[in-house]
Amino acid sequence: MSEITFTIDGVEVRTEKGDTVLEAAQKAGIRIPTLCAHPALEPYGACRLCIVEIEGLRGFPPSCTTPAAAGMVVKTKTPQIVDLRREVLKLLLSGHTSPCLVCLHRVQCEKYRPVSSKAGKTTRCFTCSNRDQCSLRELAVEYNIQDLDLPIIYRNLPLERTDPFMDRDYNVCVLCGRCARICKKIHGSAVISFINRGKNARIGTAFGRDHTEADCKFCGACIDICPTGSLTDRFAKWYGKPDEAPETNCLICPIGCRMRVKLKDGNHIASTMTDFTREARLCAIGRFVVPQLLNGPRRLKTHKIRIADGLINASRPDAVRGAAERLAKKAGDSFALVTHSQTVAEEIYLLKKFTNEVMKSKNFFIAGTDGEKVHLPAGIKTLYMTGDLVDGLAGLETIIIADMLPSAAQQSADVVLAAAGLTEISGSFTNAAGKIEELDAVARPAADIVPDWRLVCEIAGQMDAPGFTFATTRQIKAEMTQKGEAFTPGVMPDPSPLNDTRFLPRWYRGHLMSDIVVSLRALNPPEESAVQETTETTALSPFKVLEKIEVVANTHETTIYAPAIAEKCQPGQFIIAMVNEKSERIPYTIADFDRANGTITLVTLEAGRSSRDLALTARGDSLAHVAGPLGMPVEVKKYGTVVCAGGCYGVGAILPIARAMKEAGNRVICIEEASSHYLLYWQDKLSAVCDELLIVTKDGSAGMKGGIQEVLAMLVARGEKIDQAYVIGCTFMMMLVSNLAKELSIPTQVALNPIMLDGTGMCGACRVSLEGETKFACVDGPFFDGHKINWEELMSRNTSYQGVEIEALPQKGVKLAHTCRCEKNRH
Amino acid sequence: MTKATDSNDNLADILAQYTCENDSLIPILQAVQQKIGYLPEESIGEISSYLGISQSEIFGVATFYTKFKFARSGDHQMRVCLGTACHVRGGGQIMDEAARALGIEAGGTTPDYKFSLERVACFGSCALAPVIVVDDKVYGRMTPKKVKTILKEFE
Repeated sequence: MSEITFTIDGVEVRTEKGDTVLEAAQKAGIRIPTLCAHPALEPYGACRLCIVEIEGLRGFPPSCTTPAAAGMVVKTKTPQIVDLRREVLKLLLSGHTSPCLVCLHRVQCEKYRPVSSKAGKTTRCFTCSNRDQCSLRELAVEYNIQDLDLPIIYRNLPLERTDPFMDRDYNVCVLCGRCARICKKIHGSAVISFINRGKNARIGTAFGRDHTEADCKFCGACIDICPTGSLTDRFAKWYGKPDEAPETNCLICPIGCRMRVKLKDGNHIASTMTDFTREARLCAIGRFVVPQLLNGPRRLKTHKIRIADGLINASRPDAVRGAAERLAKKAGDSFALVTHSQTVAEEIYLLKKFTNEVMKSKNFFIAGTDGEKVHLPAGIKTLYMTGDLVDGLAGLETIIIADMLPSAAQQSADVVLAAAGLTEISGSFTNAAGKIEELDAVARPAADIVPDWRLVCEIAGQMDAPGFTFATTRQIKAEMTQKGEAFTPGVMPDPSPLNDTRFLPRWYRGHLMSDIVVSLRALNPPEESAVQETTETTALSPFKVLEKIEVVANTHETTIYAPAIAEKCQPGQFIIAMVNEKSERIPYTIADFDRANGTITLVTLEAGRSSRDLALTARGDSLAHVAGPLGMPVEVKKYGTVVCAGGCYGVGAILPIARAMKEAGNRVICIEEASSHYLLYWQDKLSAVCDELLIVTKDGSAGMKGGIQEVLAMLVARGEKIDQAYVIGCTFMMMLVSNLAKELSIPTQVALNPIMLDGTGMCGACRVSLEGETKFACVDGPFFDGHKINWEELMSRNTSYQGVEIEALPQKGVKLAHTCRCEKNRH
Repeated sequence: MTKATDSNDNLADILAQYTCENDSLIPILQAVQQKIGYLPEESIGEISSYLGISQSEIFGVATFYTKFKFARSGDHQMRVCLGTACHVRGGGQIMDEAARALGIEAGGTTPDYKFSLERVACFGSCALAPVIVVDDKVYGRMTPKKVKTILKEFE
């Protein structure tokens, strides 16, 4: 290759002939902003952010598609180019959900709400799981975008989450085409492509099919290459930006793919390809399922030991001692140890050594990876197994199980040891090609959980058996090499799971993986179909959902038949709903009620598992239970001028209060706050019950720019005397407004929404501090004097269960059984 | 144009006329639409296996051009021009009248599959504005009254 020389920003650069201007600049360390360009992809020229000025060339060519030529004079940072780029960026942002980028309260928001709020649809950065890894956001900061003066377009495309493992929200998509291009590069033919044209152009599949029907291999490359939050990994998305990404190999099948392990606080939350190439691709198991086996809600995290009739939790030393005691005097061929091959060679060697030398037994078995259980030979009385690997446990006297996942067999075990596995262990793995890989333990299991080989060493130690004092797998390997142990490769699966999801591995440690990671059933249908039962409810059963609409993105209006509640409820009260018999009980403010028809209306955000259950109900469903009305109503009387202000779901909740205040003869001013114009709703309903309706948006796309506090300040500035204010919305917003209202001496009542269990004053979960005095939001509230609340404490209490919430989310909403596409295909 | 036929028609005879290259995609789509009247879902599958291009990509190409349809359209295509010249000379009223006479909206097809109604942006017959084109025949200097006369021709 010959070299050429040209100048960029006055600096002479040398590059290989055939390089683009962008590549040459990158090699020379000159930064040109890009979005659609990616090192793994061919130049595309879609986003126009990398435009430069080249002497002698007309216009502003994109540097990614312009070949470098000798003697070129390139400028990348002239004021004109920077201006143009800023305009290009604004054009991209006008079709993206960007109000948070230009919000006046962004600094405070990021301080008080450091993690994104879980939501179904992404309506702004705050509800975007990709917030901290977003190229668009970084560019907006770099180019100091303070105002979006172009019209903000929200396409309101439906959220696509019927496929396993991924959520797709094309409302956030900027059409860079990276996903479709990487799909084509890796798989030869693209599952997703640009469809339609002009303003209707989007990424999609033929005839709007699900990805499972469009032959997607679920390698996850599209998710990992997406610069925005359009394509997301349903399991990993809410953990936030990974903090480490070491590499190891997958142990599920003998192919042993190399993968990059995305860690968050040591937890393996996602595995990605080490490179965006066909050779480095992963199957759905490696990409999505392994992280969920390790960190899903069903992972065994405690050791258990049998006392009298039941299993109780035990520390590792106690459980190991219990196992050692039960194995003592059981040596001989009545003992059997059954393990599996989805681990490192050192572990298998050590378990065999334990069987032969400590337990003096020849009964050592390795279960296959096909799920077939081992049948124990006659005469076995004592069993140690590292999974759910044996058929027929009846007749055994002692059972010790070391496992990562729960099984029915554990119910009859004497000791259950929680073990580490997969990316949490180090050692040698011989792949099907015969190559010995030295693996490092990259993920860190919970405290007190160690690999199987270490458990066995500890048990042997308790039994005073010599030869088990290993500290690392390297020491075990040294002994194996000394003894001439062979490292035999596994058998290459054929056909390869990398090419066809029908041949994905199904078993791990004797567990059917689709029992643990339920969404996998969409790819590996179980033998007996898991048809979900739907029960038709009678005409007007209690708590029947009479109407259910997504009033604006991610905000749901649900009208429920609940005549007893409708008859008694007063403005400001709330209910506690259980969507199904296994749901949490969640409090929701009553947004409206109709005594004549016996209905109540809720306006709710999808913000977690239980609110998603409610969001996924449809007209005709029935909720399992609704308790209410709860809490104290607001005091309705003549104050003079009353301000009723709501944001997000709070817009719904202020309606009955505004109406009651108006009926009581007050002058009512309603303020509706939303991030952007596409999140405004119920203006007509509010207008009908107030003297003045003021709209405020964070991006200024409708009404004033700012938040409720800016409107309050404006009202005071124009000479309005506010006698009472009611503010309903998220805790952060109510805090900001209350702080200002206190300065302006406006009496302010806010509706608090702390974590609540029973709603009747028994549990104390909803306690809040008002100037040192403890109150319960459920019985003393929900309305409190906003001037007196200890906001910092309230916010910290509200985030107590964030970790549990993340674990509880992923499986919901996946379509597992066949649903008819007839409607969808009709044009 | 031939009459709309069952969508299970075998496309082998059409495909055989084209080489297995990306370049053949649009001519094949045109030929299939010519034969069947629209592009049935099954035909996209067949073309995909023949050319080795994914169905999504073919769908992407086909949805880029308004000419391609995915549902059976009428035996006769009535296209009302709403380009600049036609618009200025009352194309909108012509469209309203056509929609009223056929009882369908622009983009729709009559329940008896006799007519499909479409709006187009310009035929290049601006001198004759406003214009209606039915199948390949151009009707110039249209008035709302003339719309019914045209429809009678097809009875």
